[in-house]
Amino acid sequence: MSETDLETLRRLLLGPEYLSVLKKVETLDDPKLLGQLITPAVEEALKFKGTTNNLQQVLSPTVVSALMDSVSNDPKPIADALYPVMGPAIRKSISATMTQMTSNFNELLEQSVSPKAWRWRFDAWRTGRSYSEVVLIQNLVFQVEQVFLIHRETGLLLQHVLADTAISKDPDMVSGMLTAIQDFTSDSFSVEQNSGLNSLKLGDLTVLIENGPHAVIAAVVRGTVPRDMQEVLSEAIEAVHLQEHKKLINYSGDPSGFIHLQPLLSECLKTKLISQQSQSKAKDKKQGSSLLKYGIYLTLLLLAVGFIYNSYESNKRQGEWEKIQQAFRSEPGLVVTNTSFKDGKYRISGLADPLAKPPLLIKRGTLSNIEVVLAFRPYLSLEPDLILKRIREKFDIPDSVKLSLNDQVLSLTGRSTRSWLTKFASEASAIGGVSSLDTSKIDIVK
Amino acid sequence: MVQKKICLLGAFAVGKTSLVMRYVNSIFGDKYHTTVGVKIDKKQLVHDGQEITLMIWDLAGQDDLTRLRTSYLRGVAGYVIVADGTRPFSLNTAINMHKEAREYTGDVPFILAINKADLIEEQWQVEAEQIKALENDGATIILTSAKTGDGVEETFQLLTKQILESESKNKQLDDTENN
Repeated sequence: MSETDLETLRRLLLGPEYLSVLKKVETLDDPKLLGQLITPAVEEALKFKGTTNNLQQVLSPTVVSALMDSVSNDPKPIADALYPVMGPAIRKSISATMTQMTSNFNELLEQSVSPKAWRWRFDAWRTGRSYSEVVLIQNLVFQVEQVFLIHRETGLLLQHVLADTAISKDPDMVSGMLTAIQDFTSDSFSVEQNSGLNSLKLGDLTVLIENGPHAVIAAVVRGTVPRDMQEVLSEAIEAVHLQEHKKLINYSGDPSGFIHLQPLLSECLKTKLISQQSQSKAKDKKQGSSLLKYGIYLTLLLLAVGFIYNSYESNKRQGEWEKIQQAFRSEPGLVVTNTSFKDGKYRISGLADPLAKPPLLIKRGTLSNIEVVLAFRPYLSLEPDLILKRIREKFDIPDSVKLSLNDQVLSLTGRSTRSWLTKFASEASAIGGVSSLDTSKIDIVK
Repeated sequence: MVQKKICLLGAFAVGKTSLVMRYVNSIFGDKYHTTVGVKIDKKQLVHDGQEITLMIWDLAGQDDLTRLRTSYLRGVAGYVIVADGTRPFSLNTAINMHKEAREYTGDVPFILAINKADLIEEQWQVEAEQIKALENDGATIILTSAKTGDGVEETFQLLTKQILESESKNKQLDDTENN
């Protein structure tokens, strides 16, 4: 029998279904056709929710591991894909941090310069405590000193956290006693099942208790108990039950299995300061007014500094100005006729012998930075020093001759030739400021 | 370190508190007995190299008129019942108390401490047969003296041992059940 005969026989035997079955078999063998066939089915499966075992749940571990594989092979594509998301998130986080920092800084500034701060500093000095301690006590509204996590059934302590500044007596025993007191009250005053004591109060100390079905959380609070504290505790005890439900039911007395709950309990160790409270009360208003206050403070401060600086400077300049005038007045060969301060400029005018020290050098000699306008006109000074200087310049006086001027009498001492002396004597009488010549102390040499 | 809660029961004036006073750490005074009805002490000991902390709930003395505060028995791993060897009546109270406690705690280890053993030559009123009978019923009995300290340490050591043994037994049972 040939292949075509066989084929005909098959068709006759199996009827029209044969072809459709044949097609389906072909589809199963061909991945391309199979893909086309199941794509709508997968789509529907992904959309389908409601049962516990939907496709998303099944796929999620695969997706996670695929993602991890991809990252460990080459992190770049994932990093590129995440980049637009990460950027804004990081910026937001940074800006939040900055805002927080600014507000902390404001607070610090306020506390360090206010009169209150000075009073606290004084208190600290007076009582011998550190400044930070005083600030803490003054600012403290409340502090959660310790938090107990207690196994409800046995009253055994599961975990205990303590604030840095607080002290605690044996927490194991306290935990037991707290449980006993809870039992005592619920025994003594018939109350509903599971509704234990919620708080104990003693002076400024409050013990807040939050009962869970298998564990109890108790917080010792000093000061005014914040309204949301009970909520914080109930959230904490819920979290404890959520994480450790089984361990709590089968607790055999080993607390080390609960050590990882420490951070959770530490979150309940809160401390609140006065300034934070008032800030949250009227935050906007306060910020505005405190800015204004700082503005005024700053302006006043600047004004005061400016004023002090100005008067200091002007005092300094006045002193220097007087020193300069004095220097000019005491200089031989110089006559100060007028000093003035006009249009922001210092001015000295007068007469100056050409042989006297130049006014500019005198000004430099005072080492002052003040700018002075100097206006000196030439004149001949009759000061003895300058007359002698003029004589020395005019006449060629031998080294062996010494000159001195006293009451307009020019005296010569030493030795000279007669010819020089005669010439000098005839011309010297014409010099201004010299009326007579005394040559008696000159030895004539040949 | 493992912590266990145990209770101390007994009639009035059998010397429960005196019995433990020298052997435990305590931060609470006796007045708690008359107010809250319980005082909590702590005893640390080592059993087989394992550190154990016993939290001892020292319940206020009972008599026929006051009922046992069973809520304090919640979660106990074991208990010590104290009776006074010079007062036979206190032993009856102890036995009644044990029955009552048993209903609440279930089958946990316990020790019957007959106190004031230092007076065994003079005023002792408990017959040896009586003790024998109780022991035959499954009770562990230790003669103690708060005055000399005899048997006190032993009581806590023995109770701890029984607690740990019964726990490991229960665990084995659980495991076989689970398997």
